[in-house]
Amino acid sequence: MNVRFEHVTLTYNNGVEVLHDMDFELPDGELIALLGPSGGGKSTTLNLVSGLLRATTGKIFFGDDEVTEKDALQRGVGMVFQNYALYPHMTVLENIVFPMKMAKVAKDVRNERARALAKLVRVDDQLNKKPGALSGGQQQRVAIARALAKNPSVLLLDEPLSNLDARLRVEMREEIRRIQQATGVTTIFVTHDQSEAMHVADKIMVLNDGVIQQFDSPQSLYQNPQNQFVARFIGEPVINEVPATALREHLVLPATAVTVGIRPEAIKSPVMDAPVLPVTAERIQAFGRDRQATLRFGDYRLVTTEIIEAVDQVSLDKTGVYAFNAAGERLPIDWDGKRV
Amino acid sequence: MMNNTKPTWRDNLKALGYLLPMLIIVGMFSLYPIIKSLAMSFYTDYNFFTNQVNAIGFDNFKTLWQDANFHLAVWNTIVFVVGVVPVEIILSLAIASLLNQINRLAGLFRTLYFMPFVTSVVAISMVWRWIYNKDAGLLNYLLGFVGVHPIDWLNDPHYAMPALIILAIWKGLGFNILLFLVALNNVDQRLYDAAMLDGANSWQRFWHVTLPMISPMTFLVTVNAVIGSFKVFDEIFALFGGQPGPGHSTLTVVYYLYQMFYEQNKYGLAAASGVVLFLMILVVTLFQLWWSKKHVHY
Repeated sequence: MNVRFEHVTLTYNNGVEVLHDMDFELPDGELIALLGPSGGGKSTTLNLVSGLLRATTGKIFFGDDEVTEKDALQRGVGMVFQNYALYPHMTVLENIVFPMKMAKVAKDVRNERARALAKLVRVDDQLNKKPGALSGGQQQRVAIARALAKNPSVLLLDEPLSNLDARLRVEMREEIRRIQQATGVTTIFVTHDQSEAMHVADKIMVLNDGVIQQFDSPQSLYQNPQNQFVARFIGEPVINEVPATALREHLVLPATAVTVGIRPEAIKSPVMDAPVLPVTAERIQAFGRDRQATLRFGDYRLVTTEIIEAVDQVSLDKTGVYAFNAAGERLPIDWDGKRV
Repeated sequence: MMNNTKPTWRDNLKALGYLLPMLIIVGMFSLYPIIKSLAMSFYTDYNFFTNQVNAIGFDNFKTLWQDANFHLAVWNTIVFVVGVVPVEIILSLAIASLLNQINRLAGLFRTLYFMPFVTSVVAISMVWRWIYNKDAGLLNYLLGFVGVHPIDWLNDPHYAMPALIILAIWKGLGFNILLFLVALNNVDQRLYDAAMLDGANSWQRFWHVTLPMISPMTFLVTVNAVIGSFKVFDEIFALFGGQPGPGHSTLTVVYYLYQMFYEQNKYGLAAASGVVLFLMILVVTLFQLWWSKKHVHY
């Protein structure tokens, strides 16, 4: 089911508008991440999709049906809460069966379907345990199975991985991907971790201050950020930001450019036909597979992942250099222009 | 001191020294009276003032077995417990659930419901004596509106027990409501959201989420209410002016014990009836414990 927002806003009772003119369409059958810092509006957006919150203005569509005034149950969404919200007094099987029991599905049908779902999320050997006896990852799986039990129109996951330790997080994000692809249900998940979103999502919506910053595939978000916020939020290590004035003697920059962002991997050993910056090496470190060097360029520090020994000049790879104006909007750079 | 060596006799003696003051108090005021009253129930010929025991045996229990008054007391106690506990639990849970829903005035209502708990039983009973009054009472006045003829609550043997039960329920509500409110507040709101999304209506959410989640508190409240109700005495004494109701209609086991001890000076009999009451409470509480294993979710 594709989900469409038409000029949706949300204003809290105290008069503060927290979401501004949300206008987007989430394609059917894809895994979509809502990414942004806390307070950016991503959980609020999720709750608007779920129907737990009502839009102040604008319209929400599921497919061709307008659902703006419908509640969560009528919209038929499945939701996995951050703390999983499993019923602690019920066994795993009873938890998964519960939505179907409420929908008065025949007993043998619902038990069979619950077992199939448990198998899908790989908790079929835990059916008679209580949630308290399961690990965080297993509880997460049960919560997903319960949400899938009613054939949801959309599956919503609120910070699904934040309660797990680092290793489990990597495992579970792959699991969410696998389960989403196996069921084909349109899935929306909220996260503040860019690498999580980058690894599993088909499309990522970056939200900040209740405004959509960019809605794109992970790769184009990284390679083609529309504004300074997205460039800064996506990528690890964080993009280097240097005032345009310091770079104008080395690069041809648009007149209104204020800041230039340089991806760490765009700073390389000198090559022909590429802009060159004079630098001094400050520190070069290796962390297992990863390398990181801190270079000094005038008054500014640049972090790079490509330099492995002390150098006095570096080249810039133009695919990783972005110019932004005072408002943080991306400006095109004319690479064929002459140096001033 | 952190070590894994075995404590020596010296260490044990030292520990005992620290514990001794408390042990003496507990022993003197808790353990000794329990053992003494148990022993006293077997004294068949006993001088209370000289503490001289002339004969022991099972005669006290035999007497109780044959005493019609004691049978009545046991029966009345059971009627009282069965009449009070379920209604009190259901009513206080219902009121607590409602209080949990409202935002305004919840504090005021909570205080109002809690008042009976902090007020003296004697004072409460005075007010209820007026409420139950046949000619000038509030209850008959209100019942008059629905066409019920005046009932002589306190002097009619048929109505004395219901009157006592109503008073006891009302008195117990406040504290139980408070306990239920605590339990209701501790239920994770997300569970209700999840249940709502799972298609449970408000009654189903109450049945499948609230009830299991607060079951430990319900268990505590029930055990407490059962034990308290088995031991009912002061309400009777105050409500019926030092009588066990008209025609012994509210004679309970503890009231019987009181009569034997203070009015008839049959100390052995009083102690024996106390032991019987203890066994009754023990059986019921063990049953509750057994039942809770299956139905209480911690």
